[in-house]
Amino acid sequence: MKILLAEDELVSRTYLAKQLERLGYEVVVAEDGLAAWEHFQREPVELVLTDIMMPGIDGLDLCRRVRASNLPFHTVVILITTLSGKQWYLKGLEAGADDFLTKPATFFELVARLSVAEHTLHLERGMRHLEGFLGACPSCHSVRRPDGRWMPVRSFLATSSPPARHDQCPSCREAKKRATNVDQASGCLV
Amino acid sequence: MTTESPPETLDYEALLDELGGDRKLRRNLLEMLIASTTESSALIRTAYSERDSAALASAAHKLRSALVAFGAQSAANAASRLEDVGRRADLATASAVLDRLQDELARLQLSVAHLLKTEDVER
Repeated sequence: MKILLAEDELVSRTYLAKQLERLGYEVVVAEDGLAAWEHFQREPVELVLTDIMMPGIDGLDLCRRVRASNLPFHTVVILITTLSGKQWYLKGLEAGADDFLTKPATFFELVARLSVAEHTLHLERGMRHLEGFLGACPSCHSVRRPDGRWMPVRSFLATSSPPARHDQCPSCREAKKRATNVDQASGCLV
Repeated sequence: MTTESPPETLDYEALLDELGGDRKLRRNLLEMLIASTTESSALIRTAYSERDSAALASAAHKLRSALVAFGAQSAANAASRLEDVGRRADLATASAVLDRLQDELARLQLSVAHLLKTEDVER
């Protein structure tokens, strides 16, 4: 996976880039927020690790721009900073950041946060996949498959892999319960 | 003749662990750190002499960022105090804080130079 690393301080940037490379990431380094933003516009990535305090476009501004770019996929933005205090967490959340790392970030902290980021991205990809396949036509009762083709819902349920879970909506479940109660009251077996 | 070891300002073994035991990388990073602190130190002195508190805060923040990445806590704390001074535009107290930072950086540079020299001998 590719990570865009934005950090204006050379030593921290090199240190972090080396650690990320050790973890198997492909790292694109940007020496300030503007360079990071220009790169992101040319080549959007799923993971951005950015310092907060940088000249020009700071980390919070970079995060806002990433969020406003309305890409078809989510980009996890992790803010990394020496700044402490709750107000920075709030500012980061308001800017749309997903997570925070406080310097010095140990190797294991990096591993942990990046694992969470990858998990988030995995879930988000799954959600996009589901969104693509949940299209349903109320007229002919067909559903849209992940490949974009439509098929009758009964055929889809019979052939889907993994199998679709058969369930009842709350209204049907309630109706069935009422019918069962009526049947039991009249002494009939259901 | 033996030279006395300067007081350690960094946990070099912990740093080596963090870098997966890569001594060459540690050496490169430490050399970069020393070059960077020298450069930041010059920027700080210029900002102070020009009474530019914003530039002072910015240079001190950048220096702190480098120091803290290596766990050079004592020097990072001094840089942090200078950053606060710059943000408050409280240049009256900057001189003492700046002296303290210069002492910390001198200790750090001495300590790193000693480590690198020792490694050279061991090679």
